[in-house]
Amino acid sequence: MATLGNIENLSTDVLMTASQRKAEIRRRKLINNSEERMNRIMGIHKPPGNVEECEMEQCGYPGSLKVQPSLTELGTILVGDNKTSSDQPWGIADGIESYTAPADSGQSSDLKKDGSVLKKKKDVTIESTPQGLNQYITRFDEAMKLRNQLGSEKPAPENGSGVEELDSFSIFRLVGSAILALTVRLFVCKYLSIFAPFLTLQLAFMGLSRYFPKGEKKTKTTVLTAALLLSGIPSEVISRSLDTYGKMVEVFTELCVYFFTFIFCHELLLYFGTENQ
Amino acid sequence: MAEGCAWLLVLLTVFLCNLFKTQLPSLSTIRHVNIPLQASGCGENKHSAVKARTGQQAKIKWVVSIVFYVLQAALMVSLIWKYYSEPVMVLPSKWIAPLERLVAFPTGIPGAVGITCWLVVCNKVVALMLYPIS
Repeated sequence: MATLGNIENLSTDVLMTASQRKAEIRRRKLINNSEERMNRIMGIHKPPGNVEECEMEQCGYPGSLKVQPSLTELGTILVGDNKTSSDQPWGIADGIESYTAPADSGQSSDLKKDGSVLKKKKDVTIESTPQGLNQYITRFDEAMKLRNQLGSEKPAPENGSGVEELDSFSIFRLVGSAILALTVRLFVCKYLSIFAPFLTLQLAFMGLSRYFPKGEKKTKTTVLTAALLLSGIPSEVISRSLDTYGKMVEVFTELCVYFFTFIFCHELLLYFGTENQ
Repeated sequence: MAEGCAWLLVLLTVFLCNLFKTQLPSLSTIRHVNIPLQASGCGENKHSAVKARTGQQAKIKWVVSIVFYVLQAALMVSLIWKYYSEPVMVLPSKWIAPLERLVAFPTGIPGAVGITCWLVVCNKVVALMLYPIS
């Protein structure tokens, strides 16, 4: 009877270690994926911890269990459990708990704490972790793309007044504004405000813009756009805001050119007028 | 005549400041060329000499930039101080309606062009003019 009891205990131990082993392998796979992702974002090139996994499989030793997993890993553990096993939804947690029960003599206190923390976490985060993890993963991917973009883009040349690149339509608009200012000073300014013709000109430019070739405006990935993207603002909103801001800057630049040309012509006419007198 | 040329004085000042700003990198490079190479021959000594020279160049560039920006800020403040209540030029007020008050700031005189408006306009236009050079 004693031998039968011993055999039973042995088999349960073996079963526990096998299930624990599987759970541990699953957990490590998930952790390695997130680690890999983080390393890629940060630019650290380290091989993932597959060696430990192989060792686990070969030796079947659950002693290399990570004692204090991070919050991210806890989340992945829980989601991994939910995704992988339907029969045992809390496989790893149960595995750890069941591991802690007989191993009181060993790393008992820390593993018990992990088990209790996992229990609390699983109650609270069961519904939100899949969505939260998806969001987390998408943001990691976006961050990695942005990092690659920032690294590949050349640094912008130093430009104190922030003048944008001038394409043919921009030059056309600036020249048009200058010519209009001259015309207004010579013929129109006695009758109405100088800003009325300018507004009319802007409306005309809005209509003419479709007839000009639109150069591909590459959205510059700056730290600001990267921060806005990572904070959750959709890229469409950011690009539209940047487009609107760019158009406002263009209109302001044209207004400055228009006003400067008007004043310059006015002063020249005054000077030549006094000379003639 | 002096008051009539206030707009020209401001314009020339802004033009010179922006021109000097575009030439800043070349100025620090000229200083760099004048510094002779001390070490030669041995690889390690050459490497350390190059490193020292690069560091010195960066310091000079930094000092020149700071001096320039301080001078530019002082110049702008002095212009604003001088033309704070005095208009740069005066136009018939109906020409610049409905933005008379904005254009006249800080003089408050209807039809006047204030120093702030003229400085902003000159900065934008001079930047455009110097765009091919920069």
